Amino acid sequence: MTFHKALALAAVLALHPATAPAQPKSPPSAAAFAADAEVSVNGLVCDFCAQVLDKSFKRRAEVAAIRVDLTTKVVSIDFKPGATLDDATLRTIITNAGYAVTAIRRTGAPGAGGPA
Amino acid sequence: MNGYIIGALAMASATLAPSVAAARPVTYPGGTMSMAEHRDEATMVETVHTLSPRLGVGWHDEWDHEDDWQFHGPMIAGLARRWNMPDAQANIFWMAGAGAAFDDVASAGGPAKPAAYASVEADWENRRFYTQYQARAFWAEDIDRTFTQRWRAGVAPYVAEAGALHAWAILQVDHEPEDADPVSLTPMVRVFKGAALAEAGVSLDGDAFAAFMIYF
Repeated sequence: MTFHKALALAAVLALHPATAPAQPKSPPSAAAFAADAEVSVNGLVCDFCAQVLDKSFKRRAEVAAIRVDLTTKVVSIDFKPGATLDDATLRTIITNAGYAVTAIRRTGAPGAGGPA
Repeated sequence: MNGYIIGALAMASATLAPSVAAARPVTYPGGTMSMAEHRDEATMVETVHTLSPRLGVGWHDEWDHEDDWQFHGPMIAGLARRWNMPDAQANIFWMAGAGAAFDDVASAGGPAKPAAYASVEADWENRRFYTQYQARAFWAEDIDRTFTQRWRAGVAPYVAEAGALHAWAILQVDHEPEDADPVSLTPMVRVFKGAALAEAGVSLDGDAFAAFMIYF
């Protein structure tokens, strides 16, 4: 009986968001983050994924800021003025962090963007 | 009724797709994971530094409170396989360690004996559901030989974005064949934010469980 109660508790938590902590704020909109490159990535499922990519990219001197959207599975990268990383390097950084790149889009001139 | 169905599905997923990984021992090159786990029966502390995308090295300490022994030694961890899917990820990790074990810790403390362990872990998760399995064998000369398994299934009550507080309700099933009561069930809550994770629960037998992990 106690076992069933434990299962029911876990399930009820899932089915009734009102009992869970308040829904976290949405990430900044795409317009608020003028990314220079957007990379679509497979395998992004949790905050640790975002942390790993954040730490991996911020080691690079060329990178000013990154933003990870777990819903769209897009990593947006803003380069420092005049700097950039080529597609192969972007792919290597993300692959070494443990994720799979599915597409890379350039959204501005190198180093033209910046966090709002 | 829906609650029971979800709970049953979570249990079924843990049984049919055994996997693991409360801890992802291999993170990213240059990254380090430290974790501690405490149960009434045992306490473990482990730190792993990732050398390459698939290999990490570290140190493992373990105290078995029931059988009164300790283990200390270096370890190695590997990512055997990862599946990156559009909305999910699955992993298989392996770990092994060798070092010294000491029994009669609570009294005088016995001499150092050679000891080693090996384990395999597998996990699957998306942003709503999670399941994991771990099998582990431990050997310490004249002190202890054990084989243990752990299944987990979890569900997130809400889907959190990057940087927000993530919460999970998890059911953990521990199987320790040598124990008088070989199976224990522990419902627990996991929360994590940023690079830190904490878990706490109480088994249906009343034993406390707590774990903490941080990546840096």
